[in-house]
Amino acid sequence: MKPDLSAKIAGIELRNPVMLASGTARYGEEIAGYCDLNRVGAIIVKGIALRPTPGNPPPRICETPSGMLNAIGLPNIGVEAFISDKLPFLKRFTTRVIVNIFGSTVEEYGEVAKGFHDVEGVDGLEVNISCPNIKEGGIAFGTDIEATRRVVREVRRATTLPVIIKLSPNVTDIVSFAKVCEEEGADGLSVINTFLAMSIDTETWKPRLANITGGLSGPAIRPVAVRMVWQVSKAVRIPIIGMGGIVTVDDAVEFFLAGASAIAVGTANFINPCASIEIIDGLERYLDTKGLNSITELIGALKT
Amino acid sequence: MRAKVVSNSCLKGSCYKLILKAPFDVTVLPGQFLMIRPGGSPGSSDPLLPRPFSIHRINPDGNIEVLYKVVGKGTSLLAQTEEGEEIGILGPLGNGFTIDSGDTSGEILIVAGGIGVAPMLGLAETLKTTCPGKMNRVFLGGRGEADLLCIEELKAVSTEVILATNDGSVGFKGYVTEALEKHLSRSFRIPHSAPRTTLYACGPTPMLQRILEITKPLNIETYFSLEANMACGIGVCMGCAVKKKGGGYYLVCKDGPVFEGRTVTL
Ligand SMILES: Cc1cc2nc3c(=O)[nH]c(=O)nc-3n(C[C@H](O)[C@H](O)[C@H](O)COP(=O)(O)OP(=O)(O)OC[C@H]3O[C@@H](n4cnc5c(N)ncnc54)[C@H](O)[C@@H]3O)c2cc1C
Ligand SMILES: Cc1cc2nc3c(=O)[nH]c(=O)nc-3n(C[C@H](O)[C@H](O)[C@H](O)COP(=O)(O)O)c2cc1C
Ligand code: FES
Repeated sequence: MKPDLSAKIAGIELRNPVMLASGTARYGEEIAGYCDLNRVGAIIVKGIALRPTPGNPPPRICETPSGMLNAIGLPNIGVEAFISDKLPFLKRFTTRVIVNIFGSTVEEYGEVAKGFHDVEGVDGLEVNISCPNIKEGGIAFGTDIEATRRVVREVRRATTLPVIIKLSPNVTDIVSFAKVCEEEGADGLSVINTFLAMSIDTETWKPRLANITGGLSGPAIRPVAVRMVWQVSKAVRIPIIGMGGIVTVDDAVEFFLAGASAIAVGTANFINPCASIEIIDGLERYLDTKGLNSITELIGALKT
Repeated sequence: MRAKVVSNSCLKGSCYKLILKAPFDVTVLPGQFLMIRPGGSPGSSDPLLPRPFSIHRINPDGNIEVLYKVVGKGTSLLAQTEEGEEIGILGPLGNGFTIDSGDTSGEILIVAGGIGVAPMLGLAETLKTTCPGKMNRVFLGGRGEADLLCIEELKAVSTEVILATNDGSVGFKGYVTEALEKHLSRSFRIPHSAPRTTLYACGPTPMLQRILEITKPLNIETYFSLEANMACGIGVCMGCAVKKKGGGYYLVCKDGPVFEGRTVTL
């Protein structure tokens, strides 16, 4: 018998617990040519705001040891255009669609969330709180515990859709942020977003990104991400989507053992657009060789 | 996709030619590119991302040729790849050069700076068969003789090959754009009787910027193959932006890598 990969996270039923991370599969159209979207558990689309934004000037990305920096600047087509132009494509697949949202004020988060209320084909929201809070001097919502609380509260009030909060790792104590999200009624947590980082070209003495700083992702961050998933999973009861540097099935298994109920594949999609499918197949084989019937037997099964 | 290395050899200085057995149906447009994962096992994480390379040409055996210059970690590893090994590739990607095969008169100018010649041989070969009646002039530029590649191959498929080097070691002494200006001042002496001219270029950004300045008053269609840092090559990461004239951005991998010169801000 094939091991059971099905999962339910934040009220969303998934064929399997492997998702495509926000910003690494855009709105599905391009990656669908390489990766069968009907096989992945969910696609978390690129961040959407109320109104369209163009993104940052180039260079937007550069490679660093076992990782990459990005300062894409959240180019987005806005809620309306997403629903009318991009969602119909995604609805052709049986895969769950989670919409990643962001705003520059607390109110805007609420409005974006309302924009997806009752929209057919949207299974949940993932709230990116790593962008700067324009009203409060550009400090990221996700690194300020009270701002985090207000955003979660606002989004929770605005929608009945499952709400998943995506935590920033750029904090001293991620557990306290996770607890605040749980208190305010979040249905799940995505752990983690990218690390604020910087790289300099020693020939030109210039930053390697036009934005100067950017977010570090890829295998370089994996051990920190695993640690954060483990800490958060011990402190909250809501489910966790683990992410950060997952490339192979073994990487994914680490996250499940640390307490994640699902995982998301990000940067690895750039190395191989079928990475998520290979991880799904690999998980089945892994459970099989370990004599396990279900992925749930792996979740939080860390031996200490 | 994995592709078998047929050969990988140094041509000149730090420039190499890689020949791959095509794992896909070889309907490739000149100007399209591949993402290649240099070196090591599929699981190795340094270097992490694949690198973009133009398809130099499809050779008579149906194999894919890539011309590359060693500039860093990825290309150094690629240079160590040996015959018979398999490497990870994705492609063919991107739009390729626009070719008006219906137009049989006029002149084509191809301008290449350094390793920018890579996509131009395939282009010149295709133009030779699709627009046989056209004049086809190639301008090859580099710092010195060692930077000029594919001279003989280009001669075989073009009306004339004009060389330019900064050190004067071969051909015109100066920038390739100066050689181009000299030619244009002759053919556009009487502007309204000048031939309809299409210019294709690939090379360093300052070269492309200069070409835009020179061609702007002359009603020349320009097509540039652009470079950008890339991660995915297929339009999902949005990392490879280039400024769109009039605001916003194009993605080099998906909307390009070939753009009409007047549509972008370099
Ligand atoms: C569409 C497209 C087609 C391309 N086609 C070709 C091709 O046919 N042949 C070819 O040789 N290259 C081509 N390039 C450039 C090639 O992708 C880069 O040279 C390569 O990614 C460098 O990788 P690396 O790991 O060796 O260098 P890295 O370690 O990434 O960089 C090392 C150093 O080289 C510099 N560098 C990076 N890219 C370039 C560049 N393009 N030119 C000069 N210096 C650079 C970096 O700034 C850095 O200082 C193309 C690029 C694009 C976008
Ligand atoms: C190019 C790029 C774009 C991203 N865009 C977004 C985004 O729009 N919203 C978001 O919440 N996270 C975004 N992320 C973060 C990823 O979803 C993920 O949390 C992070 O990259 C860690 O996973 P990884 O190491 O597997 O990539 C982006 C990451 C990358 C590399
Ligand atoms: S390289 Fe990823 S969008 Fe162009």
